[in-house]
Amino acid sequence: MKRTLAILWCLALCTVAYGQDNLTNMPDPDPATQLASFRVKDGFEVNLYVSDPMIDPPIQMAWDEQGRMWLATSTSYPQPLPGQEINDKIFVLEDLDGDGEADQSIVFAEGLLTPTGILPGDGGVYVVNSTELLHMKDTNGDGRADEKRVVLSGFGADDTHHLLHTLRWGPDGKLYMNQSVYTYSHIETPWGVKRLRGGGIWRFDTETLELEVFSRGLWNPWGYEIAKWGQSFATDGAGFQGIHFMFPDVAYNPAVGVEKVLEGLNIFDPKYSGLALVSGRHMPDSIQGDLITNDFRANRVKHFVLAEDSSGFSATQLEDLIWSDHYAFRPVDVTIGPDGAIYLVDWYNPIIQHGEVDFRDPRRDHRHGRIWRVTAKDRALIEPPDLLNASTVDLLDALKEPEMWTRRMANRLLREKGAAAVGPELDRWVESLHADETHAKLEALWVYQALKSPQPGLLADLLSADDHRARSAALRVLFYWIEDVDDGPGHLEKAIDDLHPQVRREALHALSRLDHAEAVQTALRALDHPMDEFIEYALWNTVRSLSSAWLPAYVQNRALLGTDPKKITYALRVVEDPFAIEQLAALYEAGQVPDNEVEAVLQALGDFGGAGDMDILFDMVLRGKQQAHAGIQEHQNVLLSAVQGREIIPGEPERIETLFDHESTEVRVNALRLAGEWGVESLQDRLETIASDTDESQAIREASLEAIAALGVDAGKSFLISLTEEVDGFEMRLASARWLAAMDMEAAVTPALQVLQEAPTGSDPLPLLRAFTRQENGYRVLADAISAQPVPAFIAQAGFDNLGSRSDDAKALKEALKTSGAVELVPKLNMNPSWFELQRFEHDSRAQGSVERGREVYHRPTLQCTVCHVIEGEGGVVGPDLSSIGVTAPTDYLIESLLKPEEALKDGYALVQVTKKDGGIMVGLLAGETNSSLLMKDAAGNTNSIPLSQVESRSIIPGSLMPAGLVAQLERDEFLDLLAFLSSLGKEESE
Amino acid sequence: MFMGNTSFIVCCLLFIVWTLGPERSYSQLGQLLDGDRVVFVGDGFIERAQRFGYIEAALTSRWPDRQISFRNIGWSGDTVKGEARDHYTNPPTAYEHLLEQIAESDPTVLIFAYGSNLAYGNDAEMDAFSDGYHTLLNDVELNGKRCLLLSPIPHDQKTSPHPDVSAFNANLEKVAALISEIADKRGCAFFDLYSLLANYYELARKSMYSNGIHLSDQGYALVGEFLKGSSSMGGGSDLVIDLENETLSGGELLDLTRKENGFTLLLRPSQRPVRGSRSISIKGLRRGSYRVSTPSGIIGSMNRAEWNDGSMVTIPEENQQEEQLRAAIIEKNALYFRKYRPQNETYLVGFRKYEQGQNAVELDLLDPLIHEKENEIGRLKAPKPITLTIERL
Repeated sequence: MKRTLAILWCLALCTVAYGQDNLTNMPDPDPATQLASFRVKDGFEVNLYVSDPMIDPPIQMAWDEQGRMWLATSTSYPQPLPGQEINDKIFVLEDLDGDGEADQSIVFAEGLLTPTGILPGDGGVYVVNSTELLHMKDTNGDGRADEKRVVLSGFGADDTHHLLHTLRWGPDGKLYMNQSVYTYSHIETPWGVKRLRGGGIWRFDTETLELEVFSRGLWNPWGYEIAKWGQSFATDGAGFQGIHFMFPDVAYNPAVGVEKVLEGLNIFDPKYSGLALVSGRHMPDSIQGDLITNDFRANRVKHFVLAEDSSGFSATQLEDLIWSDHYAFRPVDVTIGPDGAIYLVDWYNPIIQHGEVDFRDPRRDHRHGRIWRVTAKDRALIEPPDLLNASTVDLLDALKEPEMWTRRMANRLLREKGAAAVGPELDRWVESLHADETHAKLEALWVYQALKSPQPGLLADLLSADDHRARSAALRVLFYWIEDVDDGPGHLEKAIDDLHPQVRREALHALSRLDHAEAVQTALRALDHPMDEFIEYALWNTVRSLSSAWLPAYVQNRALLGTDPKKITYALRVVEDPFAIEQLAALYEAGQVPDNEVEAVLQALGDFGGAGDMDILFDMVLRGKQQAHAGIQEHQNVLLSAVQGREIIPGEPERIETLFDHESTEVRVNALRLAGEWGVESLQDRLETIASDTDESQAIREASLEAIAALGVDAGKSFLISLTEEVDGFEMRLASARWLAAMDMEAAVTPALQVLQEAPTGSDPLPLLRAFTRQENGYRVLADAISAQPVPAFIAQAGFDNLGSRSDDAKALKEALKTSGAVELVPKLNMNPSWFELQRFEHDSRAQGSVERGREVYHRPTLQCTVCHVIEGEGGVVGPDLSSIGVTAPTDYLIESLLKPEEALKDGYALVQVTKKDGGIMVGLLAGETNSSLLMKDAAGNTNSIPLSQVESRSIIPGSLMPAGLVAQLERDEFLDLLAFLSSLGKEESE
Repeated sequence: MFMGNTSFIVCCLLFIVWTLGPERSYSQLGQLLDGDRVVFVGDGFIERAQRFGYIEAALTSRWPDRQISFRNIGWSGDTVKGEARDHYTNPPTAYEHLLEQIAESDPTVLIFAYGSNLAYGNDAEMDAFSDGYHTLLNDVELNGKRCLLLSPIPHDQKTSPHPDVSAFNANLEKVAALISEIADKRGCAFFDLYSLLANYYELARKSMYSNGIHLSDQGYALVGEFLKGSSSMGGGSDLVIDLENETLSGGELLDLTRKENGFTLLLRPSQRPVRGSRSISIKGLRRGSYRVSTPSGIIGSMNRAEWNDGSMVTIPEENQQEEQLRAAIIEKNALYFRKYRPQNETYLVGFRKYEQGQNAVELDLLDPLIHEKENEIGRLKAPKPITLTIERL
């Protein structure tokens, strides 16, 4: 046995270490070295709370009522070796003498598999154990777990950095838990099987085992915190949108199965992990309520200030709390401790990439880890209250403390005592509150909620509080108590017209709990008030979730939605129901859709309209009828989208021929394409005539070719082949070959090669080549053909420079193009620098690089930077915004991104390849997924929707939309200038 | 205490289950054969079973002389369409993944447990379930394989936080009947866990659940005993020692030494005890009271007549061995869990294998470890010789 194990260890350790990172000199693991590297914001200082070997590498922390820190750790992350004992641990740390350093470390539990979440409560501690949520208990008082219960199981483990994590108690007494994007969970509860595919936040009642999805999406929501008035926020460790405002049923990219997502509060901000809200007397007043999170990648602790912004929030970044150039400093979790200090979990590790660096790379650290403690200089620490021995009344009084730590802990302890023990004293305590103690009343309301003891009186009191935050929070409670209070709908009738948008947004959410048709009328009243993205999201959700009640009623009674066209249109267009869409089409035809709704209505018709609805639009097209800004072309686009997406075709499609002679070229092009898409075979001859007509413009002739290809009849194939041989203009030959390839790749090989061989210098072969490579096996077919029959060198060069992916077939094509004379550019720069050269780049850029010259390099058209990237609002939107890249990315990361974009790319910018059922391939960024379609962003920044019904498979493929080798043409000093420029971005504001 | 009570109830229930339709229930699956690979497929009932090990332990020790191996590929929330086995990307689709996992585990016997999610379902979903089950049984190509379909277990009101589970149970009862029909049509054996657990509660007034829908330690132990019983009717574990003729029925008598005030016997039972207990009767004792013990303690003190009639006793050595066997099974299952549901599947074999595919070999490196555990299970499953000392008091 021992021998087997030894062999296994050796095999596993000896697997090729092919880390992309060029780290070769490892940082000094002495905590003193690390501490010395910290640059700390003025007014704060840092000390070491605990370090290895007292703990294993830490992932998450949480506190108990005794002020002890619970720590989930792992030595086997990211992947236990075969033969390695599964033995990750939970530590309990205690600072016995109050000097801010832990003096005692106890291993509470071991034998765990990658524990990524921890939270004391219910007489023990909740621990995430890969696919399970465990509850562990020490029943004999020896400080170690002796009882283990599987509370929930079935969480996905497809990716260990996406496992269930970030456990938090909400003030409602529920356990909130986050999971990340590749995690697909299927949980059996006594109330049903609950499924959450992809990222999201769960809300769990540990007593009744009721489990629901609170929000969906985010790539890696590694931070979640609930603020003083119950509003909550999340961070994302992989998306680029900074802080996110969370509320029930909200969704952010890349939510699975949701038709609509919001954007985060800091677009193009990088990855964050952990989130804490500053609260308590130890910290200065100036930062109370601010958010602290970690940019683990850039070795920084970030600071944001929150502000209410209509029905949502804004978050503004301030100077970093800590910045370090010690690149093994990896802050991943942050909390406020019982003494009011900020505690940071430092997953000490030079390597952070999960997938990009080999799991067995020897530079991965499996031994070290630290907890750092940040205090405010010259401010008294908080004396932690003795909650362990506190009476019910003491716990109730603790709800008035300024420290959220204390209030949350008291809330949980009161819940655990139970309604019978707490109820009478809680009632008396509420009575003793002054009328203006609004927040204390809200805390009491939450305790009642946690105790499952509805209090309509207190709720009504808070629903009419002066403070809009209290009214909002009370509405969230009303959502759950809707059946327990006398006049829930009445409260909502009032709240929907509240002066404050935050309140109206919460009212909309609460309305979704009502099950009668008229509730939709109340919800739509939100449109009488100013709207913003958050409130619109809530309205969209509610109108849809109420649709099972109001749609059937609306079928009977068209007056249900009232008379305001704005409201009627809105309701009908968001529900994706055939009957509603039919009504919408009729309203549209009758000109009753408000101008500013026209675009959204056309979108809905294209996405969900049936053949009858297309009849209406087709009719409008034929009659040339205009609606607001939408004319024939816009209506044709809807018809195209319906047939391309869902194969919906209006009646008598051959009538489209009448538009073949329209005065507008655009209209004619669309008409020709529609004829093809609709499969109007009777127009085949007419299409051939137009395609052959040398008096027609190239655009019209090509549209005819496209239509012929779409019709797909044999006659068309022969026709296209014959056109590839025609001598009337080379453009037409190229185009015919291209559409022939789209129609029948095999049949197109010989004619296409013929055309390419005869191509005059200067013609653009790319559309033709791409007609192959965008189909399944297209690279292979083309590679074989060109190997057998070389093409002119300029054609080969164009293909070589512009086509390719990391697939073997693509490599084969490149080889074939080389034999045809394509030349591989010899880079002026060393594209594979050693660690030493990398350091030189960095130093030399600081010493010699010119920001001004770098700006010029950046804007050179040949580099194409601005095509995809934005700086200060200018540029393309395909790649990440670079406006603050200098403060958020370390220089080595910038260098790697420039030299090897495919290896520095991050979640959210990975290339996705979708193979369609018709064999077509689309490559781009996955911008989102709805119940009915995939949204893909192409290199031009356009978002295309692909119906799921057409998707055969999808996979993430190696590579980046950023072409490799763009900077190969630069001289070394130009590259240094470019680095200097990029490093400077965003620095002016922050220094 | 618990053992004795349970044994009685087990007897009663065996009777009930027989009367519910013993012929079809067991005869089709028959017994497990030398070389069998038994694969458990299903939802959370199966997934959780692997952490307890009772069902496998019971079936393993039932035929100690045969090489039988087990694989558990249960998945919480799963359905006959493999719904819970989905990923961020496909292929494989969830259903393809299910079929792949069944094929990779190379079964000769398939034990399915699906349908618990229909507690919350409607008639249309029941129809879809039936169709889906048939499709699954078609797609796994049963030719030559034996199969056993388990019904879902009922919800347990006593331990459920749900205020009223009766509607769920009404549905589950229908599902059980549906699965029984499917089993009939497909020539699969059927075992009605619904009736077993429902009747157990009626008889014993004792919950076998941890949370209203999943079984507790005791619950899985009970099901293990029943599944074992279901394929081993008549296989008794009783030992009858005849001191006069120096014979033993129910095992092999390896040595018998007469002593001044009693006997020392070395014997090897042919069957493992049921739920830790077995009946021992001793014939040919002279008048008086006798204490029977093993090296680790006394197993009973009774008079001649009582020993002659036989008594249920617990032999500590046997129980220790049973626990060791179960522990080894649980460890083997934990290793296989890492193979069929590997952490970082996305990077090892999924759509990001271009990053970590070189480490997928580690999944195969689990195989020798699993075999090593199976060898250990093989050593632990055979009844070991027991030294019994009979002393006259």
